[in-house]
Amino acid sequence: MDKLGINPTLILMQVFNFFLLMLLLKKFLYHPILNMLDARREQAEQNQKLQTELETDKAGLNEQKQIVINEGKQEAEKIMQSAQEKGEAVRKQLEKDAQKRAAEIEAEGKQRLEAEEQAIRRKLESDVTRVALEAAESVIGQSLSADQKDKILHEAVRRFTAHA
Amino acid sequence: MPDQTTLQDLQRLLAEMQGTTSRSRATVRYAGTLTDAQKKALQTAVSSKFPEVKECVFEEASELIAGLQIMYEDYLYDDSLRTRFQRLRQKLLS
Repeated sequence: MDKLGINPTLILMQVFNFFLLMLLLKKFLYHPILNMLDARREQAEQNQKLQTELETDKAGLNEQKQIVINEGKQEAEKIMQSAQEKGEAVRKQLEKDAQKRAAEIEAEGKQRLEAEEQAIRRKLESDVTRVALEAAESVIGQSLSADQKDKILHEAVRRFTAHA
Repeated sequence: MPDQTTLQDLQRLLAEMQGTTSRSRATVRYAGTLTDAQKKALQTAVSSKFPEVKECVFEEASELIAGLQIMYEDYLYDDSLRTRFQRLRQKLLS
């Protein structure tokens, strides 16, 4: 072996050194690196999981947002429809009130006109009656003969003396 | 010349007599012709209704048209054609 230049002690030392180095590397280098890699992988997995969750949440949020927006739109449409219905109802009510008031005013005017017409008619009738009676009184007073006046007077005397 | 007291007494007596006279007198207003008998009958009727009436004064009133009115104090008997027309007018115009 010596002739071949091989030193068994050296080889053993080399082997020992090799295993010692391996042991030391494993102890102080490979393990921490592997641990770190494991940790990074776990972190990456967690990140991936979180990202997935976030994307899921985002999708859920988007869905909820869309739902809220749709509900808002529906609510707005309902409010608009309700407002339109109320406005229409108010307009109809106002129109109805206006028609009613117009009818009342017309009826009042008609009633007032009829009352005025009746008053004028009554006044005219009373004027005509008064004039007719005055004319009749004048005509009768002038056309009564003395005998007729005496007859009326004598009847009056008879009535008074009969009741006195 | 009478003194002041006597004059006042006489004036008071005259006023009382005038009052008595007006209280004992009724007025009959008429349109037409009344005979004496009718006047007497009227006076008798008035006196029987109001015993204090001693005299009736008869006055012609053509504005009555026909008929008569008898007035004594606040009593008024109206049976004239003019008043009938007035009543008719009031009735028709009321």
